[in-house]
Amino acid sequence: MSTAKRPPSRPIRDFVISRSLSGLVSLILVTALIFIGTAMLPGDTASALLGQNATPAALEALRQDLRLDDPLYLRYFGWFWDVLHGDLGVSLASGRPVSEVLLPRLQNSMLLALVASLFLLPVAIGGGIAAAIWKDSWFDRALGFTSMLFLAMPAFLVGYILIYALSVRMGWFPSMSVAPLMGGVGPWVKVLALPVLALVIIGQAHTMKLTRTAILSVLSTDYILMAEVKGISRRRIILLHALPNALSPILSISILTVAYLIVDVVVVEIVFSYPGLGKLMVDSVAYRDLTVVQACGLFFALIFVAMNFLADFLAMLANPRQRVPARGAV
Amino acid sequence: MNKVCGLSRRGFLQSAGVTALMAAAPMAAFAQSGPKRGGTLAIGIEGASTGDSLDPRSFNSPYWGVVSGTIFNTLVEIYGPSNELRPGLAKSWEESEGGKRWTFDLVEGATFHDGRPVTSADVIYSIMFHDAEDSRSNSRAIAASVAEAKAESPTRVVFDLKEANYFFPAMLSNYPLCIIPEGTTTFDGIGSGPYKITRFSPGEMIEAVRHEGYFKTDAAWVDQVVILAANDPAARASAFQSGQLHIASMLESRTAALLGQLPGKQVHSYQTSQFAGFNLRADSAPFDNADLRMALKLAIDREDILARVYGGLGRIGNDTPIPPNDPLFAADIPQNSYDPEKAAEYFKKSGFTGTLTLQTSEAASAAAVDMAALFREHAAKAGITIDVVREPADGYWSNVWGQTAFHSTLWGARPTADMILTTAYTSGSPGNDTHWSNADFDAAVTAARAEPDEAKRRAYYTEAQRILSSDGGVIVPVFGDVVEGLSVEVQGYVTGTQPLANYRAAEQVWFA
Repeated sequence: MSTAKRPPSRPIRDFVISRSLSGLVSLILVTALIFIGTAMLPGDTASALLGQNATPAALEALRQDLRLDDPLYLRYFGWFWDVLHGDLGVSLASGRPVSEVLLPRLQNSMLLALVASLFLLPVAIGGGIAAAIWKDSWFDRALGFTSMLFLAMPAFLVGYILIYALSVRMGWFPSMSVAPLMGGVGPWVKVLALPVLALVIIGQAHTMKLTRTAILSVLSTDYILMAEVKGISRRRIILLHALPNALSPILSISILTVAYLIVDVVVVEIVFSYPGLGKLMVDSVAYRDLTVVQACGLFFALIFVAMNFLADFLAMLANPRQRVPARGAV
Repeated sequence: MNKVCGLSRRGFLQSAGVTALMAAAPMAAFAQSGPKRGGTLAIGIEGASTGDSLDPRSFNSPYWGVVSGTIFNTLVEIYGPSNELRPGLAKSWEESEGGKRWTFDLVEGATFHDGRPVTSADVIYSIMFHDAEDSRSNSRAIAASVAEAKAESPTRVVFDLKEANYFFPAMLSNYPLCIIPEGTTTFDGIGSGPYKITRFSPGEMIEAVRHEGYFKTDAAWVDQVVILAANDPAARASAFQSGQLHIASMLESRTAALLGQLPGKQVHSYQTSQFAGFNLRADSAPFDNADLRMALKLAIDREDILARVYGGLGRIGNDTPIPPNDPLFAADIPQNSYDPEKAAEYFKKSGFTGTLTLQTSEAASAAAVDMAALFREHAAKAGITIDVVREPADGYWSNVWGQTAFHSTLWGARPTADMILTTAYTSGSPGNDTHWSNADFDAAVTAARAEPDEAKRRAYYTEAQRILSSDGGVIVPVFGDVVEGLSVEVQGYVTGTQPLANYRAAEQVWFA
């Protein structure tokens, strides 16, 4: 039934449908894996809650209370069913609704990611472009070296160095990034300073390297060679000819960087005691607070899947070749 | 002055034989200015979690001890390095019927944060709901020891106990036994304490402002208190160094000297009956063999552990939970000390051959892990092979502690000797983590609790310690001191035997 004429919107619709489905499958897999993983750890919520005060009777009572004696798959499907109905359940440890526990932490994580990307993206993309313009110069080499150095450094090390230098030695910023409620914006600036700086230092390398590579790969194409032969300056070639064509990969990189900043910041949040989603998840794992861990995992996966989807979608829109159906594929 | 049975409070304290620690200079020697109001005090301590709630029955960590001491009051308070009993919401108390009946008179004018007066009904509710059916309180046994609680008048409460207990007032200083309004079921942090909660972010912080109607007029100097969840000792130390925290408790002893040299900071330590030790499960093989237990007690070099694990800050233990600075410490019983040859003899006599597996974990403190490694080396010199296995902290208290043959244990400070001896070493107690059972020991502890005569009581306790030290299943090598850091501008702080001035630092201090 195929004909040569296809509605031009089709690839986009196909893309949206297939990616939504695969995203959904990823989410289900992730939550199932977290459920199994948490169950495999030694101890359970009851033993973690009672700690040294655990008597066999108290343990048994609490386990029944929390329905920990039900088989794992029953508990998972029960949880899944509730989530489908928009109910994330209650925290096993505190008895408060999970959404109430989660939401402020999610806001904090988003705030940190947003502020960090406001600094990180201009620095990294600008740096990448500059490195491409002055390829193989001392600037390019120095930038390449330092970004690789920071990339190789574990996040906690960067965090502790910052704490030692700027907090303990200089006393400019608090080492524990917890904000007082009163006092408005001022305290927040101080609180966010060190984690944001740490994230910029750790996260810039990828974005910078990929921006540089994206531009350089465009630079190796024939039409750029043509422009060079015509005698156009390198800076002009990069900014006017290469950059628009490298936009699609750079866009993807930027969005994935933002996703990274929300999802992958667990270590940074722990080092600075920042009350974000990552720290919530780690703390909740310690207490086997399965409903909270599950909800955190769900949100992390959701953010990552959505950001990936967005990145690919925008890249598709930015690149006409991906937008239009491949010729001959009838 | 508080008169109890014709004695002064202090006299009562001594007659009651409450664990009193050696009176070390409580305050560091620096200039003290008179108390003045103002400022925001930031305290950092461990033991907070995102799953926390304001239900006093769930208070079970140093963090919640501090919250209790900041937001709430107990009937009786414990003060200073010698565990002096002081009035809290009860201005006085007296016993009758041979320690079975205790009558408490409440202070006048105490109010909750919402303005309601504190009455005897509130007190009874707050104590007795720890024994409710669904209660997971660590103070449940104290509430359960009460046969009947009566409100004789709005300011007088009478507790009739199931058994005589001269430590009952001291036990009521336990921080979960704080007083909340009668009938509280949604826990919003309404108490009668010096500060009222303005923000509770579980696992993060608690912010509180001064309770203007506080019944103690010579307390609560700072305007605001922030209690930060600083569970990681390194995070605590750096927040203290950077000035974010004015007081940080439970710092690592190996960093104490370094922190104390910083300008504007001072560090001091207090003696405590908290200890990390080793359990030898006495009800099953191989440690149902008393010779094997003794072999191990003689195969550990306590001096080495004191020096290398605690940096010399602490005192040698004699395999009982009673530290040498406790007035009830039995100094005239034989001290178990390192003697590889004698240990080898006992080991041979026990008939046991093979390797002993020692399970340890960070859950029982970092010191416990270091100690286990040293113990292996010490025991090797006596020809005893110990295999140290490091267990994950997760689930340690359920899966290893009190279960396996040979493992690390940790006991926090208890306000009275009776509490720890009863909880951890009497036969059949749910907290008996060595499963050791000795009828003579049980009899001595029970007799001591009900004995009004101080000399006789002391004799019972000496006997109990002798039996435990020579036969029991616990090895207590050292009582390590607890290190706290204070900014120099913090004044009026009196070190206690529990963290943060027995948890009541917030109402004590002022800024210079």
